Amino acid sequence: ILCPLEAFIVQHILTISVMGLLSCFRSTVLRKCSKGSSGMSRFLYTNNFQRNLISSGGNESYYGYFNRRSYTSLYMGTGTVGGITSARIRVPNVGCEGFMCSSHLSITQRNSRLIHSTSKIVPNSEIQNITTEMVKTPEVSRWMDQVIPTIAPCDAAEPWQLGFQDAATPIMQGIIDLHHDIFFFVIQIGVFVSWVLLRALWHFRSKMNPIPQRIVHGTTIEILWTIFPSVILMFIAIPSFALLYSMDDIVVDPAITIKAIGHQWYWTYEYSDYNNSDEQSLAFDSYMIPEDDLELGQLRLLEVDNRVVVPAKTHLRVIITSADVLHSWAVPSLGVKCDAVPGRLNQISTFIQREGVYYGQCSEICGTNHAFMPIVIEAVSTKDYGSWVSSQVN
Amino acid sequence: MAETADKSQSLAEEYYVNDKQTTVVEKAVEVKEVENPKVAASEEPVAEKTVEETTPVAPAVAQESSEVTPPPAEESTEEQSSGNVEENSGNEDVAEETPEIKLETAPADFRFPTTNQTRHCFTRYIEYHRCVAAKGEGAPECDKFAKYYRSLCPGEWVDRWNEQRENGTFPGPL
Repeated sequence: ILCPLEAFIVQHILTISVMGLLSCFRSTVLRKCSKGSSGMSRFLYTNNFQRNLISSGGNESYYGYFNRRSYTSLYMGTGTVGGITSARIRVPNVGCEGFMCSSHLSITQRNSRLIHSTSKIVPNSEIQNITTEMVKTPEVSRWMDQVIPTIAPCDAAEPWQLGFQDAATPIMQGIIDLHHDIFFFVIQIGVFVSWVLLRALWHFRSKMNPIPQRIVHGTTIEILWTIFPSVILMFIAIPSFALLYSMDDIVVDPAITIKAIGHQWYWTYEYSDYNNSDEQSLAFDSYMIPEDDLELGQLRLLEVDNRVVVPAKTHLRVIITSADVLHSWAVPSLGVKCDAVPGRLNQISTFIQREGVYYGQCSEICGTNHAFMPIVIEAVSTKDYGSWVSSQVN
Repeated sequence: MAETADKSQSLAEEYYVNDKQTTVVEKAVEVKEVENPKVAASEEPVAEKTVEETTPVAPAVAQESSEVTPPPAEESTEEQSSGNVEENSGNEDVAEETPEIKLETAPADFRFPTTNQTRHCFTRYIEYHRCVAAKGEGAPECDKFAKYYRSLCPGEWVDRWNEQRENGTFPGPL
């Protein structure tokens, strides 16, 4: 019989061991990024700094400097080959040490509050429910992250990640749900077919059946294996078609039009809603930051010098084209992927539900540096977007 | 210019300091709590502004916004407090900047419902120049069409078409 103190110590040790087992299980099996906890805070922390720079405005703004250089190179680039810029970007030093214990928890809470603060402009209750589900952070996960800090970038691919990145649009959420539904049927069908195959291999082996049957037919089994697959295909097709037709563009008029023009090997973005003439244009080039110029906390092969800034919770229209060869504008967190064809304007509509920084890459082989033309979209609040546009246009 | 630069630097410095120190964040939270009545007083005009901003962009969205379900009381208070603080700072920035930024662009056209919008851009460009030919240069009715084709067409395309129009080799029916 143990005394109360020893009993308490034993319980504490058991709790620690169980927690260790849970963390081990989580780190091995649940390698996919955790939703809305430590991973999101990393990028939202960076985004917070970016947002402050946007709000400050003036000629000293973060985007003004690069916009001037890119604007010049846009015209000079007509006859020259686009090179990789070596400009250095001042980003706050966000690394592993920034996510330890209490500072990590405070960052997480502050960012969660920032996310919740912009949910009053939601135009649709259903979208609001989805947004709330996406933003909600489990208390247990938050507590565990405080004790055992893990960094999981949810809006950029984790190393060796197999699953989807976290959804930021209803379309991507629908894609993830459709994948889970179809995967359920896939596993069931795979197990059943494997069972039938192995059973046939075992029961009809040559020892038990030296003389094989020549003619085998059964009307009942024919009817069964014709009707059941069609029913299963119906269960797969109905949600698939529903999602496909919900991606149609004509449902809602967009509030902003962004033009993404692919070049070898960079993207050019144009915001022409705020022009008063054909010559005046908010256009900038988006080059990858070379590996040598990366700051601590930045992602390799994913960061760019000029980000696409869009307001969250606003319907966007992205018109994608190319100036030389085929490219593909793909951002996994937004669930968009559209080819950039020279001489053709492809349109996609999207509705970003939460503020953050989302990464993508060119997804159509386009030459030697196909892997070095990333896409970075920064979703900010509507006020910050207005400030950014004002600083760029003036 | 100098004043705006100073303000921008001060704002950047404030945010930069706030990001690093935790105690300052706590003080900010206390300040927010103290400012609750002021924030409550300014809630209605902010809401009206947001409603006004959304209605011209998309009437369907405005109709849907009326059906928004109210969030729980606790979350709503937190959201309102921090949201209003952000919006106040945004209003200050907007007040400083003289030109107003309207979030409006070319509407969706039912003549071009598919992903391919090449003809949409081309048609908007032709519509603008037909309007100019009919109503004269600088007519106010044609500004709408000008905004539409500038939103949809890449800059290089417009430059090339302008050059073709000047040379008389533009293929479209003007």
